[in-house]
Amino acid sequence: MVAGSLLALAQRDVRRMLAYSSVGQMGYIVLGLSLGNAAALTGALLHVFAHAVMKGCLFLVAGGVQWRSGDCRLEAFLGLSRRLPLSTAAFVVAALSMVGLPPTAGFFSKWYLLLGAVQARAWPAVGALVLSSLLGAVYFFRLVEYAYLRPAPETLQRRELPVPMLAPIAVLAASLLLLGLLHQSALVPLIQRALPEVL
Amino acid sequence: MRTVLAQRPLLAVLVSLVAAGLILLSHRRPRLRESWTFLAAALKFLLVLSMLPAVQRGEVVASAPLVLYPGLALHLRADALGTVFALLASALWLLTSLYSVGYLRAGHARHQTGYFACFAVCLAATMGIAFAANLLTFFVFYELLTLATYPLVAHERTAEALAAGRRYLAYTLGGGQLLLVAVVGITLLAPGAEFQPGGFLAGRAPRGVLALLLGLALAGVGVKAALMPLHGWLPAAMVAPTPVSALLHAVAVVKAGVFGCLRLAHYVFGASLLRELHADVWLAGAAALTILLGSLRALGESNLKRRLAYSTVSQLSYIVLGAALSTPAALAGAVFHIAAHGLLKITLFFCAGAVYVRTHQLDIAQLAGLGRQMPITFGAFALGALGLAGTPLLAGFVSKWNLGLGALQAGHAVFLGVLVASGLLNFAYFFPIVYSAFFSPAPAPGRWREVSPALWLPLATTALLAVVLGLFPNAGGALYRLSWQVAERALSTAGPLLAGGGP
Repeated sequence: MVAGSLLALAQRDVRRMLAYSSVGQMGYIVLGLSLGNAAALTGALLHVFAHAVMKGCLFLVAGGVQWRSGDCRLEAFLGLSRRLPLSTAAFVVAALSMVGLPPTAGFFSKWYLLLGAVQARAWPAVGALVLSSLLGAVYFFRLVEYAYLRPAPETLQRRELPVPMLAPIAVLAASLLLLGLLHQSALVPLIQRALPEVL
Repeated sequence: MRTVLAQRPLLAVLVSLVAAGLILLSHRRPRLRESWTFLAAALKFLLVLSMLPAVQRGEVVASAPLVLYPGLALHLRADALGTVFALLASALWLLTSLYSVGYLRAGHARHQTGYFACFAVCLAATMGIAFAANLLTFFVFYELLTLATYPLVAHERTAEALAAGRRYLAYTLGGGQLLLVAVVGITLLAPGAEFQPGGFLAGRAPRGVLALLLGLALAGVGVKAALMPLHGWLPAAMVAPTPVSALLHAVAVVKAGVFGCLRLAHYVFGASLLRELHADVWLAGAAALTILLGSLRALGESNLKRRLAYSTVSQLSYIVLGAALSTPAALAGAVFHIAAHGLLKITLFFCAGAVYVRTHQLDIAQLAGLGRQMPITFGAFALGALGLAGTPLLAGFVSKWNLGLGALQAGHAVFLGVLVASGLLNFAYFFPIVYSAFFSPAPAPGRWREVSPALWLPLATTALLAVVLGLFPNAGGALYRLSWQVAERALSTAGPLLAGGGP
C-alpha cells in the first residue's frame, strides 16, 4: 500500500499515477482479506466495489483528457476545471473517495478496514492505512491544485466531453456518493450469502 | 432527557447544501446567486431558532438516523451544546453573507461563484458538526468542513495562497487521520459511540488504551482548535479573503475544533475519566501555554490579520482550558466563550476587512489617524478589543469571570493568573492600534471616509450584540442559561455552586 502510493507520487503521467495507486489499493483489499475478521472482510468487499467504481471514473476522465489534448501529463490538467468542468468535478469526487474522505464509498471501506485492523490489534496495518491515505491526499490534491487553482492560460475554452463519454463518468461519480451512504442495502445480503459465519 | 423527533436538524444541514448547488447553477447571474445565499442563511437561522424553545426546556430534537450498517448510523440531533454553536454560526453566516457581498464587490474579486458555493457547504458541515449525535457523524462533517474550506483558503490563487492551502490540508488532513483512528477505536469499545453527557467510556478498556485514544482524538481536534504546537496553519490561512477569515477562522472551523474538544472531553470520556487519566492537568497546561504564547506572538505581529490570528489561537485555548478544568463554572464559561469569542473576533476581522477595502493594506503602523475617518469601524474595533480583554459589560467578561471562578473551584488558582495575564496582553496588543487610530495625526487630511453600509452594518451589529450579551447574558437565545445547562448535564451537579455564577 505504502510502496504503491510512493511510486504513484513519483509519476508525471496521470495514467501511470493512477495505475500505481491501483497497486496500493489492491493492498487494502488483500489486507482486509488477511485480517480475516468480520469488519475487515466487509471493508475488503466494499473496497472491491468502491475501487472498481472510483478508479473506473478516474481512468475515464484521464482518458477524456488524453482524447481532448493528446497529453496526459500533470501539466495537461492545468485549468482543466474550465475546459471540462463537469468531468473535473466527477474526478474530484472519485479522488476524495480514493483518499478515503467522507461521505464517499472509499471512506466507508477504509472505515471497516481500520475497524478490523484495530480489532485485530494489527497496529502496523493501522499505520499503513493512515500513511497511504495521507500519501494519496498528496498526489490527488496536487492534481486538484493543477485543475482548479494554478494559473492557467486565459485562452482556455469550455469544451466538455461529449455526452456519451460524460454520462458514464457522471453515473460512476454519483454512485460513489450513493454507495457511501446506502451501502447497507447493497452489502449486507451479499456478505450474508458469501460469509454466513462472520455475521 | 426527553427526545423530540423532527427533521429540523437534518433540514438545517441540507438547506445550505441545496443552496450550494443552486449557487453553482446561477453562475452567470450574480444577484440571483447572492439571493440563494441570503435565502439559505435566513432559513437556516430560523430552523435553528425554531428548535431553541425545546432545547431550553431540556429536550433534544433528533432526526431519524440513517443506518449504514447494523450498529453504525449517521444521526443528527440538537442538544444544548450543539444549539449554542449552531445558533452562533447560523446567525453570523447571515451577517457574513452581507459583508461578503460588499467586500467582494469592492475588490472586484474573481471566482465569486465558487466562493459562495464553498461557503454554503462549509455552513452545512458546521451544522452537521454541531448537531452530530455520534462520533462517526461528527467525523464525517468534520472532514467535509476541511474539504470545503480548502478552496476558500486558496481563493486568491497566488503562490502564497496555494502554499497556505497546502499547509492547511497537511495539518487538517493529518489531524483528521489521527482522529479517525481514535473514532474507530472508540466505536469498537462502545458500539454506536453516541454522545452522552458525562461520557460513556469509563471502565470500558484498560487505562493505557483509553489514554492512547484520548491522545489521538485530542491531537485530531487540537489541529482545528489551534492548540500549540498544532496551530501553524491558522496564521498562514490569513491570506484568504477577510470574510473567510472572519467566519471560518473565528467561528466555524476553529470553533469546530474546540467544540470537538468539549464533545470528546465531556460527552465521550467524561470528567471523572479525564481526572483518572490525569488528562485534565495536561490539557489545561497545554491550553494555558497556548494562551500565553499565542498572546505573546500576537504582540510581535505587525500585520493586523496575523495579529488577530494569534489572538484567536490564544482565545480558543480559553475554551479548551474550561473543558479541561471540568468544574461547572469553567465548563459554562467555556461554552459561553464559544459565542462570546465568536462575536468579538468576527467584529475585529470585519473591521480589518473594512480597513483593507479602504486602504488596501493591513500594516498596523499605517493605521494612524484612520479612526477619525472611519469612526464606526474603529469604534466597533475598540469594543471588540475591550471585549476580548475581558472588560466588564462586554460578552468576553462573562465567560472570563466564569472561567476564573471555575479555576478556583478546581483548586488551580494558577489558571486564574494565566487569564489575568492574558487579559493584560490583550490590552497590550490591541490598544496601541485603537489609540493611534483615534489620537495620532493622520498622514492624509481627515474627512469622513467610512466604508459602504454592506461592510459597516454587519460589524456594527456584531459589536452591539457583544455589548448586549455582556449586559444581559441571557438575552435572545438565552445563551448563558444554555451554557449552564450544558455544564450541569455534563458534570451532573445540582446547580451553580457559588453565588453570582448562576444563570
